[in-house]
Amino acid sequence: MVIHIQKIRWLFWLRWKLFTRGVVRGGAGRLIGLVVASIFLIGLGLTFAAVTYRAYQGAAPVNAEVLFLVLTVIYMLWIVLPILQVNTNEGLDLSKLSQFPLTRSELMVSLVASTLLDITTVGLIFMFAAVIAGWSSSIGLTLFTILAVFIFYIQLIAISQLILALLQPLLQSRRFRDFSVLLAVMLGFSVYLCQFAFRSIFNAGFFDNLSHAAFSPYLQWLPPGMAARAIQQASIGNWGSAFVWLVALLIISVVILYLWQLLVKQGMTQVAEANSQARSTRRQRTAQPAAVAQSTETARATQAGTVRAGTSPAPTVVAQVTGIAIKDLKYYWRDPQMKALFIRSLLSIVVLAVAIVYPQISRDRRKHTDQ
Amino acid sequence: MQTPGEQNRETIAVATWQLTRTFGQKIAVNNVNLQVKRGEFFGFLGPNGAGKSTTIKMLTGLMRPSAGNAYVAGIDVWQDPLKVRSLMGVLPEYLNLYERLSGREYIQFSGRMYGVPDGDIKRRTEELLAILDLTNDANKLIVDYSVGMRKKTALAAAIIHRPQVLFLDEPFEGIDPVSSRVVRNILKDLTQHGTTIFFSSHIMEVVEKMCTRVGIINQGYLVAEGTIQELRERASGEGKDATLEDVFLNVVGAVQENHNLSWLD
Repeated sequence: MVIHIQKIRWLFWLRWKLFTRGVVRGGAGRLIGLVVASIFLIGLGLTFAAVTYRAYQGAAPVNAEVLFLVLTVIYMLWIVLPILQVNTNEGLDLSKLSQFPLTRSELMVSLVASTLLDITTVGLIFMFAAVIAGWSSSIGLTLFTILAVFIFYIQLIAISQLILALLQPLLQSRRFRDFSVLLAVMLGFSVYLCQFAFRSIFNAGFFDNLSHAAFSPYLQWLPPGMAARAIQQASIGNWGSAFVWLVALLIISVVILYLWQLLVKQGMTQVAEANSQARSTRRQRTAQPAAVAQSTETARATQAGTVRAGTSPAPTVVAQVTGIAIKDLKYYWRDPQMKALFIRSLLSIVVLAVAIVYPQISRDRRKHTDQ
Repeated sequence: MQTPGEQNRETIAVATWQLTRTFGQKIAVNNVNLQVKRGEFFGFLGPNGAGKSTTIKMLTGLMRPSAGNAYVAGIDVWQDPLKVRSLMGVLPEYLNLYERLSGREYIQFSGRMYGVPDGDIKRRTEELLAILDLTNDANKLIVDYSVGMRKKTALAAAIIHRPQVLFLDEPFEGIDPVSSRVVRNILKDLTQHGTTIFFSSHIMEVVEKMCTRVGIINQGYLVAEGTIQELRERASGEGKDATLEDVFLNVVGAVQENHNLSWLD
């Protein structure tokens, strides 16, 4: 575990530069956009933190059920977010550091640093602050909650980085870059649809389940559930059980950290290997059709015997228009931005159609049942 | 028993021992054995897809060999990658620089990662920027650089720690003739001061002018190795005045192939 403090300092410096340049680079427009987004996200984080704090202060078992759900949602988000950010956050691209003599530990610290300077981390801090404040009824419980949250945070970073390291070759591919553009646009579009999902989730049944502790028996076997269970057990004075759950969480965290340090260097070579392999496969794939095309062309020319130098037929307008149309259609499909626009438009029509047709159908059905 | 890479540590800078790399069914590099002496300017030639970049990636620790060993300065690249990386500089084929750093910042960052003292970093960076004609653009972000400027920045970052061995994959691609001459002079200067250079290129003129020894790889096999004079002599039939291009085409078996476009007849 060799760590050179100087290198860590400069890796932090690198991350800070990339972060600030990402903000300033796009000019005033981007800066204003980012400030607005930051205010919105921080506001959202504070609101969630305040709401969950109130819930933690509430009656059992609802308070514990909310804790289980909050930690599980955070865990899921932290697995997915870095995957979506990998193409915009240069700090997460390990292959850029591949030529430098950096130890595993230095690389791991640099990756952790890359996640620290995100707005999402600010939201996470609010949520954790709400957990600590909401569950601290004594000094002992406060210390225990801080410890549980700290171990949970370490595991959160480790699991997201482990998944990044595992998927590194895929994440660096052109196909994934295209897919992530598509996904980002779709997620933006789905905000309208999400309200329906939220309405269906947060119905009377959901709150009924909270009061009957319906989620925790399942979630407690997942790492976030273990953290929640440890805090909940400590809050009712069941310290033995609380420490057992905490130790289980710690063991899983150590295993994840171990796997991450195994894969962190492999991630760098995997990118180079994946690129070489893709190029090698492409070469093999293109070599065969090219040879076939050439032989076909030769055969055609020999058979016809009419194509002579300087006598190639003048291209017609129709051929040119068709050529441009085919090119545009290909671009339309292959450009992820355009594809996203196309799918979004299509989905808008579907949503609109459903919004118009569905009430009509349900009205007819109601009329039918009334009769 | 010691492999050739471990023997003669004092004289051999780069060595491979039955170096092999496969991608599924395809053998990209097949049992390559080569030795490059310290201070040599070694040119690594081959047609597209011959295995040049794969060999360089295995030598620089970016790709694990399927079989065999790679040694730099007598150290097994995969046994002690950290030590090896601190001794070498790499200019890869596809540059992967931090786009949102300026040229000056990137070169300085590289120096810091190699553990060069701060005073030396500042002095060497300014000198490199000046000699590579990048001073005026040193504070621009790399994202706004041309291909040639990126290549020069990456080269400066690769040599700031004064490496013992420098690996260059197609260093002259995308560089204008003026910059190309500057880069050639820097590389010459480095070899005169003891740095070993291992570089791949398609530009035969440059290889002919600069390399003390040449290796030619084709379809994963090292098909020829020696000084340019030795290769000329070996490639019989080309005559005494044969250029390196003639020798290269002869060795890779591309002389007889006459590709004409059928539709031009």
